[in-house]
Amino acid sequence: MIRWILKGVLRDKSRSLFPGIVVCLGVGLTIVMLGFMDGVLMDMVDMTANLDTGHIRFVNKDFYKEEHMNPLDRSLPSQKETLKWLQENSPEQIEWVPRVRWGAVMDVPDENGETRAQKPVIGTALDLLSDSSNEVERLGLKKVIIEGRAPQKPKEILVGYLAARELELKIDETVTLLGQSYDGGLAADNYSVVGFVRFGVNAMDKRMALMDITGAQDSFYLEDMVTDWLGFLPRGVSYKNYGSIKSDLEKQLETLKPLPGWAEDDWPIVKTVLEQRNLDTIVTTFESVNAYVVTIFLILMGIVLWNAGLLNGIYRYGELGMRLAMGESHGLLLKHLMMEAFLVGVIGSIFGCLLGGGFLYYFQEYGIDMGDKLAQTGLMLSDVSRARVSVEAFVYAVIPGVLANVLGTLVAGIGIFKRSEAELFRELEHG
Amino acid sequence: MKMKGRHKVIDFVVAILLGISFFSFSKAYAQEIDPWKLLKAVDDNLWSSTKIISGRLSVDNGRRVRTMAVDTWMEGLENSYSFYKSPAREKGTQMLKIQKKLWLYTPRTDRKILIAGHLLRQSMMGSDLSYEDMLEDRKMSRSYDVILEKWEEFDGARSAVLFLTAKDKEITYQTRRVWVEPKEKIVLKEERYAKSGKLLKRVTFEEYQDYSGRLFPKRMIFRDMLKTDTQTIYHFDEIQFDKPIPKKYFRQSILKR
Repeated sequence: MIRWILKGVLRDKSRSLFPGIVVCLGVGLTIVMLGFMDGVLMDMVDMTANLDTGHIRFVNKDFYKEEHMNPLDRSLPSQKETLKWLQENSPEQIEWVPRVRWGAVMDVPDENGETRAQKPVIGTALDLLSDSSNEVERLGLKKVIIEGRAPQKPKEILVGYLAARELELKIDETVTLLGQSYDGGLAADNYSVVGFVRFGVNAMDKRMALMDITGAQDSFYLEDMVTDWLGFLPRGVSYKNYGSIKSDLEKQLETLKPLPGWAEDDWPIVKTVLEQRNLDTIVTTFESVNAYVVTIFLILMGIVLWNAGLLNGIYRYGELGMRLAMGESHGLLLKHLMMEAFLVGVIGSIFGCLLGGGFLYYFQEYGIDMGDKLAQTGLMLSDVSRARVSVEAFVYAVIPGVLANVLGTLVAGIGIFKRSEAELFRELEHG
Repeated sequence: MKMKGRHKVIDFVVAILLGISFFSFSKAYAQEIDPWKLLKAVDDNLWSSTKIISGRLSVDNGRRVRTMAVDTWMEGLENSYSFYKSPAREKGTQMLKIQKKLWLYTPRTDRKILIAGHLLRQSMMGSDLSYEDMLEDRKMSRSYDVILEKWEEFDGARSAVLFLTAKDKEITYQTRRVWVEPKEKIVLKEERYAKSGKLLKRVTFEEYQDYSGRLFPKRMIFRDMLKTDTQTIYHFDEIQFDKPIPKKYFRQSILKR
């Protein structure tokens, strides 16, 4: 039966071409829209994760509570042992990297070595010098450095371009950082400014400085200590899975005995990127918009396909009448029409997936350069907006695509029940 | 009946007399204390034209205690110079305050860093003292208006609680509450408040000793009330008053390795 219907659909293009095109375009558009929104959202999540929180963050509870003050005395000791524990107790796909968040006064000397300008800065120290580290790529340093170069030595520093402008800094100038050490003592050290960075996020460009982690550990006396362990997941892993990864790690934490060097009140906690910087609210909003998009597309496609079904009904008026007159029941006729619609929906969806998937892949790989527009929003967003190819986008597009065609045919097919056999015979006689 | 009425009258008269005598006694005791004179006497005892102090700062940040040995030279209200002798990491660190400016020198950077404005109110080397607390020697009787707020037992001694209000709006601690033992004219405890009335610092003065005719505490315990579980004890190991200090101590040229 299905083969018979399929032959009919393929041979009589007037039955299938228009609804098929509608489904194909609808599915394709939905895939592109959902994939693009998902990509922008993931971009925001990834950018926040890369610059700030990681997808999964492993941090001392007391540090997290007061992180706005960068309390280095609440850093987590035993760097090597902690990394080993994390690697053994979390999924292999997570890449764990150490970071140090610090705060200090940046003091710029004049030619006599006396203070010319100063300003409080916050900074991140990360592994910029190891060959095995992916941090330079993760931060996209080559792109964000607008003048100068990346640090090549521990005591070299990158400064946000707005902070540099305020302090009237020049490349290769020496600045002094004045802060607090791990044990609350005075930490003061000289750094050479090797570059200016522009992340496009005002708060960061105005106050941020980046250095290699070994430099920070030396300056702030953080031997074998870091403030954060950030876990990074491959781009293909949806943010919806972060919660379960966190729960698994928390279960493992219950079995952890304090590592050597930890103080009595040192105890790490696990946080996902969504639990920080208000991202969960933004994600919920994006998800609501996604749901609206899918619903609106479903309704629009349904209306168009209903119309197509009605037109089809008119076009096949004679055929349907003949079949009814020959004794085919109303219900069977409607069932055949719906099966036809289902097949057209499936075929249209396949083409829609190919079309939408192709565009989506292009937008994922090359993206759209939005220039400064996104940076001005204050959100952590890259200038180039990229889509994300995900199974979800295809599922959310294909199901409404097929459903809309079937529903459209169902609504159009109601007319079949209104026609009586006597009327049909009269029509045939006249015809 | 008559007897009962007479007793009532006697009770009433006794009560009135007791009340009057208590009121007169309190008033007389209060009149004995002139809060400004008491505060001035405290200043005269603690304050001198110069001070040379050898001491130790024990900083307890709630997790560990770190002790720094420091020598300080102070001249009047304006000038002071500190040299940190230990531990090794802080050795050679120097601070020079001239009027409202403070320079910090660390051997590691080999630089003089200016600490001015709001930075002066930041924690000094992780302690409960700010840079300002450490190097300021203010005469309270000159900078504050004072009233006697109440009498209170503190550490076994009956002490006058003086409430001080700053005359100058630029002063960091706009109000202070000082517990003074009136006989010896020594401060037992002090609370320092922000303009909003928020308690910022609590200082207790312990174990007063006679240093060349002056009573001076052996240690002061500072607590930054914005932090939890922290305290800094300033131990005064040696202290000299009114001893001439060479001018070189208060010149920027002293700040070097």
